[in-house]
Parts: sequence; structure tokens; C-alpha cells
Amino acid sequence: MEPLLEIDSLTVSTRTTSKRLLDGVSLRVAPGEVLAVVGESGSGKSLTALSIMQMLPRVLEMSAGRMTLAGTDLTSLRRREIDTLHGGRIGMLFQQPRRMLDPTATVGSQVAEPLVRHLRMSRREARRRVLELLADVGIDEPARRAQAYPHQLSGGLAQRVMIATALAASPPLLIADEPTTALDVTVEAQILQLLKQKKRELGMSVLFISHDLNVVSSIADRIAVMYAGRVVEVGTADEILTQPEHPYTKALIECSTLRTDASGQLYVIPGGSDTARELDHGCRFRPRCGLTQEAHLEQVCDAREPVLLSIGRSPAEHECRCWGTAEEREGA
Amino acid sequence: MSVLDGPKTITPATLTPDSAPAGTVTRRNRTRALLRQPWPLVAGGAILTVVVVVLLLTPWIAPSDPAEQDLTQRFAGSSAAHWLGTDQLGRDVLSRMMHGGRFSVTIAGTTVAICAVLGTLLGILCARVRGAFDEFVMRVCDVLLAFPEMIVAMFVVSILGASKTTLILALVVGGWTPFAKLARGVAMEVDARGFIEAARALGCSRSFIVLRHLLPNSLNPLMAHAALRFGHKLITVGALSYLGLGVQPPAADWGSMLAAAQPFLSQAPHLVVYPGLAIFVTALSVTMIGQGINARRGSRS
Repeated sequence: MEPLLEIDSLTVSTRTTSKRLLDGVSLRVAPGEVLAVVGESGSGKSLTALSIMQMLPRVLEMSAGRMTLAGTDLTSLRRREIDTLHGGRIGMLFQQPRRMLDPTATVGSQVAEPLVRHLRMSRREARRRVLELLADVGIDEPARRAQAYPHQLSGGLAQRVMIATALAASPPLLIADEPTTALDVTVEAQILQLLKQKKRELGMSVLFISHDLNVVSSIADRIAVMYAGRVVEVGTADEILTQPEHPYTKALIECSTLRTDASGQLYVIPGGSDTARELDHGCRFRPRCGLTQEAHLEQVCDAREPVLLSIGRSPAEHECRCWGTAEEREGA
Repeated sequence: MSVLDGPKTITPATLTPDSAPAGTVTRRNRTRALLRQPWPLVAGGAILTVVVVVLLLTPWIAPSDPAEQDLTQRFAGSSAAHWLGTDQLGRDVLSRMMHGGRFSVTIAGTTVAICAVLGTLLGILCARVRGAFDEFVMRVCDVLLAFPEMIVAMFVVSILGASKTTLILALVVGGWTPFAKLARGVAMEVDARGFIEAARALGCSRSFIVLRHLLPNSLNPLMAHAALRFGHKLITVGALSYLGLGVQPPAADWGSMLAAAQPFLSQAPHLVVYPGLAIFVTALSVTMIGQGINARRGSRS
């Protein structure tokens, strides 16, 4: 199927030092599909989202790559066209919903903004539609809530309001940047449920960004794992969660189960990802990787960076960026 | 209160628990909400209201013509005919103060309003545009701030001659800079907050974001600053009139009344005390309002 969103070797670097924060990221989201992007802090998940939205901070620039949404090249849009894109073709959810609502404006007026802007509704029409939208995202007493100010809402309610706002103009793509991270687990489950339901109703695609594999497992159709500004493994959710190939993915899954070892210690991935960008040759995960020593691949991993190799039965099913797995396949 | 009304500042009325939904604020609630404001705000507001009402009604309630002389009644003390006595030419002090106050307060008010609007616009523009424009405006600010406001004002007035317009112009030239600096700082802080990013992600235009989200969220500190500046301006207007650069005789304002009374300080101290008090009380009331706004902001965040 023709993908809705296609990102091809996206590279983002700082203007002054040309440090590469995203390096050749390629992602594909089919219509009606949920692609989850996982990785630890600083892996470039949010930066990918901002790049798609053409909302990179001024100090960063997109130095290479192509991005298309339903055939439209996103990188060559003019400001006016970007405004139509935002909210109209791509909706966005953020991590801390309460900070994303203007404290001086009522909830209703904020949900109405995209209606007036993108659907050219009159204020009166918009006011009526706002109540329907709020009811649609499971908010009781929408008329009263529409007149409330953001500080009167709980985190879960605020995220529901944000969902209503992001989906007001029925965009074909929703980018959800850690939408449940700031919420407690019971509310988190409700919000995920709501997102799934909305996805079904509107038939939209979702780019779901998260650091939490447990959350991702409940909603994703496909998963892309990012490390230090690169996609290291991508595949269907089932494949990634049950048969992870990349040592980093395996380690992430190990971490997310919160299991303790014999001495009662929680499993952590040794080292930090902050030094990974400093490496200018070889595999970025090498210093933290167990497989390197285990499989006696030090020289290979050190010399060249592995490429994304297809390892699934069909070409796009499962791709992994690791010398270890590549070696294994060749040997087999 | 409708869904799509313009931005509103959050009054304590809307902070009441869920049992009293916003939009059904009764009169009783309103009184209670007013009294729950910080006391400097209530007290300052009350005093200022009295001052403004008296000044507005002056043409009808002033006891006598402010320019009418009665040389037989020079330096009279308080009496039924002249509540606050008379000056060196036998003119009624109360009437002169009421008429003079109209001048002082109007000039100070107009100046602060112009300064606040101009400074805020420039400051927000600087914060949004950045770059060379920002740099230029801020350096102009620095240069103007390097001179005391009085010196700049005296310079302008002595070049252009004394009149109401030049007085306002003179005070604006030196007066917009603090607003620009403050607005720029506040706008930069608000600009970095989440909802601005969210508004961008919804496709709001830049001007919409500034007017609908940035400005309402920057307004409180700017209003507080405007109130503080008003008292300051009132004193500056008085000082300029005192130096003969403000209002021209026979008209009077509080500052020029002080100046005229100076030679007779030992003979008739009331001529100095009353206009001095008028400046002091009015400036104090507005300053208190400013502090009240500040306190309200502090307690909310």
C-alpha cells in the first residue's frame, strides 16, 4: 500500500557545529497504521516529530532527506502551507497536556481554534461543534467544561481536550509525542483506549512516540527503535516484541519488564547514550553492547557502522542495524 | 460569558469550586470576589476612584473660579467659604487643586498609556523577531535609559516649548523604554511555554498567536508596571511644572502650585502641604494598585 507518510534518510544537525542529531532516519507510515517510535531520552524521537511538523528550533537545520505526506513534499512548503498542514493534515499531541493549554483562555475557545481556522466554521457553528467534540472524547458535561479554564482540569481531562483539539479538523495523521507519560497508569490506559477508538473511527494513521515499550505494545502495529539519532531496528510490533534482533531492542525489553537479577538489582543498560553521538566511526551502540564481546566482533563493530538489513521473511517486515545479526544470517 | 469570548484574566470568581460554574456569577459573589483581592488593590482602587470622580466632576462642583483673585483675602486659612484657604493672590486653593489635578492626572495617564502600548508592542516584536531589529531597539533603550528621565524631558520641552502635547511627547520619549525591556523579557518567557508550541502545531498564524496567546499571558506584569509608572509620572509632571516647563499660568497643576507657594512657605505652609498631599495620595493609590496586581499574580503562580 502507498504509505501516507514517508521519511527518507532524514538528517538534522546543529547550524553552528554541524553535529548530527538525526542521521539518515527513514520511516514509513501506511494509512490507518500506528507506527510507534521508541528509544531512550535523546535518541531523536521528538526531533523526528518536530522535523515532520517543520517546527525545528532555529539552531537546528534539516541538512538532508525527503519527507512526503500523501505525496506532498513537506520540506518545500511555504509558511502559509505549513499553517494549513498543522492541525489540518497533521494533528499533534504533547507530553504535558496542561502546559499545552493557554491558561488565559477557556477550554472551549481553544478547541474551537482549528475549527475556525481549518474548517472555516463561523464562531456560532464552532461553539456547537466544540461540545460534540468534547463529548466524543469522553468528557462529561461538555458545556460546563467548555467554559472552564485549563487550571481547573486534571491531567487526563486536559489530554482529552488536547485530543479533541488535535482531531477537530480530522487530520489523516496524528503525531502523539509521549501523550501518556505525564499521566498515572489508570488514566494512561483510558487515554490509550480513546486513541485507539479515535483511530478506528477516523481511519487515521498515528505516529506514536514513547519510551515505554509496555505502552507501545498495546497500540502499535509497527515499531521503530531509535538509538542516538538512528533507526536501529524496525518491524511489525509482534516481531519486535517477541523476536527482537538488535541488542539495544533486547536490552530495552529487558528493562521494561522491571525484572531483578539474582542480587536483587534491576536490569539497566550499562553506560549512557549521551556519548554515543561523539563516536564518529563504527556502531553507535558498541560501547554498551554485550554482543560485541560475546560474538568476537570488536573489530567489525569498531570499523564500520552497520546498515539496516532486511531480516524478515518479506523485505519490509523486519529490518535491523547490527553486525551481530548480519553475521549470524550469513553463517546460517 | 460565552465560549468564544475574547481572552479574560482569571478572576477569583472563576476560581471558585466546581459548584459555582463560571458564567453564573451573582452580585453577591462579585462583592465577595472583590473583597478577596489583595488589600492594596482594594484600597488603592477606592482612593483612585474617589480622586477620578472628583476630578471629572470639577467643572460642576468646584466651589469657585480657580483664577478669580481676591486680594483682600490673601493667605486666608480654612473657612466655610474657602475650605482649604487661599493663596498669595486670594485664589481658592481647593478650586485650583481640583482644576490643576485634571491637568496632572490627564498628562500622567495619557503618557503612561502611550508608553505602555508603544513599549509593549516594541518589546513583543523584539522577542518574536529577534536578530538585528531586537538588537537595535534594545540599544536605543540603553541609550535613553542612560539619561535620567527628567533630563530627557527637560531637553525636549526646552527645544519644542512648553505645551500639553510637548509635555506628553517629552515624557514618552524617555518613558517607553522600561516597558519595552519588560515586555521583551516577559514575551520571551511566555513564548517558550508549551501552549505557544501547541498553537503553532494547530496551524495558528503568527499574529494570531501573539494577539490571542502571547499578549494575554504577558499582560499582568505589564499592567502592574504601568501602575507603578503612573505614580512616577505624576511626580515628574509635578516636577516639570515646578521648574516652569509644564502648565503655564494662570492655569495651575499640583507641581506649579508647589512652585508658586515656595516663597511663602513660612507664612502659609498649607499652600505647600495640600498640593503635595494630592500628588502623594494619588501616586500612592496607583502604586498600591500596581502592587496589588503583582501580589495577585504571585499568589496564583
